[in-house]
Amino acid sequence: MTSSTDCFDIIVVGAGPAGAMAAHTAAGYGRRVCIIDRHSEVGTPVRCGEGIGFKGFSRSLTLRPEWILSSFSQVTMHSPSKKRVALKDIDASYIIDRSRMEPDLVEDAQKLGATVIKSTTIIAVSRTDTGMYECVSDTQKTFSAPCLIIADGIESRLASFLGWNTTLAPTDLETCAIARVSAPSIDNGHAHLYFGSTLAPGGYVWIFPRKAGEANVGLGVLGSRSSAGKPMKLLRSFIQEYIPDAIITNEHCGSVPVGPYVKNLVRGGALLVGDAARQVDCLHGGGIAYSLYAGKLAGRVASNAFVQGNFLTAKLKSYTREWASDLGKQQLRTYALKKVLVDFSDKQLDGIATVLSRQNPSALNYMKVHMQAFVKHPILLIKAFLLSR
Amino acid sequence: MTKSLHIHKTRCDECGTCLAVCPHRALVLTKSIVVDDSRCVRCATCIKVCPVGALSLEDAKS
Repeated sequence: MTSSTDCFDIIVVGAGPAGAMAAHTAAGYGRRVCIIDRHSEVGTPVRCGEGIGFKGFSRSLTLRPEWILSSFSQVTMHSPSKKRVALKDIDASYIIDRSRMEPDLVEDAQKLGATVIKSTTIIAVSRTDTGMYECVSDTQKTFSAPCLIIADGIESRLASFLGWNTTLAPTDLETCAIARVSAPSIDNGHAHLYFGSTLAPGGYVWIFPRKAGEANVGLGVLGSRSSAGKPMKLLRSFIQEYIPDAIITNEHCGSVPVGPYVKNLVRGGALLVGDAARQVDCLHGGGIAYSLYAGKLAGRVASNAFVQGNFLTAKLKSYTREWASDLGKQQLRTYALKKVLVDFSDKQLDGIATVLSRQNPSALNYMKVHMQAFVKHPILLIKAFLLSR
Repeated sequence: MTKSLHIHKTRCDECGTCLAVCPHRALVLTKSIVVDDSRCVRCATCIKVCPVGALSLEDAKS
């Protein structure tokens, strides 16, 4: 028995980038929004490298200076045999403080009238005959609304209550370990990426500086090439060998979906967003830009489905359509390329690095790196860049 | 002896990777992650992908 029911227009479950953005957007449209998160503090724990390109971010949101921990325009890629490829003048990328960004978005939603419920897990959801979603919490409360935005992360289980199968194959998942380290040798403004089947099978290691002397260091292993505890073991060995002056101040783990996004993003009055919808760039595993975009889109589409007091579920279809024609298309391209890239041998990666290391670092960018990586797969490249649904 | 899936609470960071790959919805997240023994088929998919090695098959308690 539950003790009481609270009714809203839109319930958002999960206050990560996708959920926070969806709630913020829908509240801005004047909808009665409730956002529910299982953690006591929104935005924590941070299970993320916190890196994002300026272009990706600014598509959905104005970057606030207080969210920026550092910026970098230099990246050095390290091949398995330690050949270095320097990219000296890439588009600006930022390390953002997610423990500030998400709480700020949720606080803004609250100022716009949203109800914020923390420390609460939704353990079951069902839809009544009248089309209302009833979300039951571990605190024995029921939250009810005709529209439900599911943003409960990679661990999403709510979607399965409503008929989605979002189970990830281990080949479509990067299992990750993340550490925050203090080390005098950390150079602000310069990120490093390391590749190789020994260091990070089917994935890579990243060092993203948070400031001089402090960095997020993370490592992803393709799920199908992992074994119990492998990412954390590999990360600790990496730090010991490559950043010997490091003191680990914080360790976490997590995972990133690197497959196609969930095909039908809308069912009835429910929308899937962010990691729960498997919306991630499959080449680098970055999900913040995709999540912000999807959250904003879902928040807008859901809000506009309320017409003269009625909630018209047919109007939600434009969320799937707009996603598919924009970042969805980009994600499927990255997925096609990633499937080939993970099978590159260390020798092939070294060969690519040898060619690139001879080029002018100021003229190199990610696109040129990809072009070189896939130069022996021209048909794949053409397919990937023409890919559409 | 029958084996059952065991979560080492001191190691588990509650990241949810196990939930993402479980094909049988045998892991449940509330305040912490728990195993639903009635659903678990001991396929070990979750064990292999756990980033910190917080899952293992142990002899079931009688």
